[in-house]
Amino acid sequence: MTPLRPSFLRRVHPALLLLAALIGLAASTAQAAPHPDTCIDGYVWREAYPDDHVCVLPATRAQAAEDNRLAATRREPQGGAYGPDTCRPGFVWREARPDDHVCVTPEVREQTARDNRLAYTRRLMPPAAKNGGILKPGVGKGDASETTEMSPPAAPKAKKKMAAKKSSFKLPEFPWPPPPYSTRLKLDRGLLVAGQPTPSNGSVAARMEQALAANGYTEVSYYAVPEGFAMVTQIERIDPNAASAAEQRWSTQIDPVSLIPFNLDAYLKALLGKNGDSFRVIVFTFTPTPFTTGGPPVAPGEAMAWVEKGATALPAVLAARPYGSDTVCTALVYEFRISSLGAALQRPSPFDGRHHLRAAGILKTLEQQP
Amino acid sequence: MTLTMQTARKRLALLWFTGAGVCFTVLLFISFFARKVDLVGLWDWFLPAVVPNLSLIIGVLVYTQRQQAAVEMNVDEFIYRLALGLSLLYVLLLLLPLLFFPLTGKTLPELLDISRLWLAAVQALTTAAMGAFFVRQDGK
Repeated sequence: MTPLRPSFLRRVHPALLLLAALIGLAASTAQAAPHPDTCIDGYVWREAYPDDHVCVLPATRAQAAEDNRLAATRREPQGGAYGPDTCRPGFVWREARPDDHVCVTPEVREQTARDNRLAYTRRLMPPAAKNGGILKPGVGKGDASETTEMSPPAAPKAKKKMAAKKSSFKLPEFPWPPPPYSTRLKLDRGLLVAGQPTPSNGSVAARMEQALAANGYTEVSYYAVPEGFAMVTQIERIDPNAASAAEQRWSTQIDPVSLIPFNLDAYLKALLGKNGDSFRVIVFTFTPTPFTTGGPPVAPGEAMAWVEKGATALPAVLAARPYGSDTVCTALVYEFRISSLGAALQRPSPFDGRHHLRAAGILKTLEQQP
Repeated sequence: MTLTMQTARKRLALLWFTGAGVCFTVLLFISFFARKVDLVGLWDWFLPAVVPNLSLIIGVLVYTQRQQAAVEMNVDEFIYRLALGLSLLYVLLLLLPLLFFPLTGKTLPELLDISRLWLAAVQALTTAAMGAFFVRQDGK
């Protein structure tokens, strides 16, 4: 072996030092920056599979671990129509990611899909920050909704274009001041931020969305209001006690009177509009700005369209903003009476706002959340 | 059998007043006993649909009441039948949404809005036929 000459060592030595310094700098930078998938307070990685960084409540993570542990016992021992991963009756694939074939109950599968959808709202670092300003739900590592990369030549240009388009995305504005409502309720702040030392708009919205989803409100839209945002639920049929109707909850259709056999009593009731039902739209406003109501009463058709015209999620920039200590969540309940003679806003509502939210199950769910 | 002008006019008037009267009664019934209904919208649909033709009928009837020649004049069968047929069709189309909306599952305002389409077309034809019958015959 040839010994190293002193002149070579003299040349290499500074280069090695520089390399070591660069490695040290990179390491310290990596240590200072939080992990891109870090969850907001109150949420942890689900870890349904090793790289699963979807942020969920601790109970959901425990559920995922338990499901993984019991996976083998829930599969058909001899396999079945779907191969060796075929589940026993009553179980379905979890699909935390497309190839996740752990057998779980249908409720858990639904919860998993919901968590995947809401994943980006529960991260400390919004997707925009991680992705050069691109507002893209579910781009993080481990998201089941992760999109495939574009082909190399087109990617940078397309990404820039998409970034420009998405960073300019603005929430549609909710009519302000809000139209006269049937009743309202100021929600206790503790219900929305409990367990979150530094709550953000995104974490509060995620908590509310989860409470709504747990009670069947799967379509929620977002709007901008002064210094905050609003969430709108889809119109639902309610029973005489203001609870969500057990049947035809999401239908605004009125049952026609039967012609054969003809029922005169039902016909006369329908002729006088006494065959109607009550319906409800709830608007949650999150703003520190006090407000009154303004404008004419909202037409039922307009309120029905709110959920269609709103945004599907909070923009990442707004989601990452801290939830101010003076921000107030007010639930505005718009109650309508729809009968064969038409639809009209019910003002005032026969129930107060607390009764409406309790009957809808939303208050109870919020109270039960950690 | 020949039909005198006065008899023909009375038949047409009877048809129109009966149809309009039924509609009026139903709307009055709704106005008194129903709640949370857009009454202005309902009457706004009804009045322009019948008032012009009823005014024409009453005006001509009153005007020709004392004219013996006009009373005993024979009518043009074709125009009379055309006016009567179109009037019958129009009155039925007017009553259709008002009496049958409980059987459709649609709300009354929805049906009234839709009915404006066909009523506008038939009303134009009916008024033309009525005008031809009442006014032209009178001109003779």
